[in-house]
Amino acid sequence: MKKKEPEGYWLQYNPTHKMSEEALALFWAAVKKTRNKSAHADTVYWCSEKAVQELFPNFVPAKKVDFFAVLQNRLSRSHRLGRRPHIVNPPGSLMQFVAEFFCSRKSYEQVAKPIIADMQHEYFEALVHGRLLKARWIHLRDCCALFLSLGIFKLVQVVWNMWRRVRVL
Amino acid sequence: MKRMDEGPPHLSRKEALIMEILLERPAAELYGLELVRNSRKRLKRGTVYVTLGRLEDKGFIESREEIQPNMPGMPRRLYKVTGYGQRVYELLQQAREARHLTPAQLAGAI
Repeated sequence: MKKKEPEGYWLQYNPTHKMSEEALALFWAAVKKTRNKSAHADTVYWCSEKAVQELFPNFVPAKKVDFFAVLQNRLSRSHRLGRRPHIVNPPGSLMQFVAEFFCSRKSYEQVAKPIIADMQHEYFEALVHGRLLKARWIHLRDCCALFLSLGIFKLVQVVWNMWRRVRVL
Repeated sequence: MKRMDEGPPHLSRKEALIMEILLERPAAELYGLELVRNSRKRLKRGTVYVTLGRLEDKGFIESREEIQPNMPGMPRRLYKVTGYGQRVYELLQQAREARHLTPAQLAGAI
């Protein structure tokens, strides 16, 4: 049985597109007919099919749901969230996850963990002194140091194991 | 963990440098970045932790996690030279110095 599609459309006003005043007026009229009472330019609105047909008789949408618009909206919302005070993971969380996943327990404990710990301390010290750019630079630099160390550590391990085997022979 | 079954103890140039920095204040415990700062650009961030790990494997240094309840983030790892490491470093330094002595100087020293 075919799933019944919802009767309506996602509408979004894109300020980068040039819309005529008449089209804009029609758009806002459509928005007013939706369930959303508070209207914002960067929000995606759900508009019933009947309302759209009433306002735009010649309108033939390619897709009923514009996923790109929804995604764009989500991204712009997360970008706006970044400017407000909110809870985030400490720096190095991703590095920690990657190192924990790819490295052995020993290399994680001996190499990755101290690098991340030192980086976090330096990062928070910089933040305490209000040096945001310095903190970001520390984060970037120590990410590189970690990947460099893990690469070198792996290489040293391989050479060391080969040397031990040669000595046994 | 000590690896006693792998021949006489040996220190590479970087390992010796780390031991030297740690032995400047034997009672103090230093963390990785402090070692990099104290080395006056002779140690790099990318290599210091690998070398420290190797020294720890050999039993020349020991480490512990710093406990600071008021600090955010993961606990830092502090490094300290062990008695065994100190003795090995001193013996290797003596051997290095003896290599540059003439036989007469060496006889005099003995």
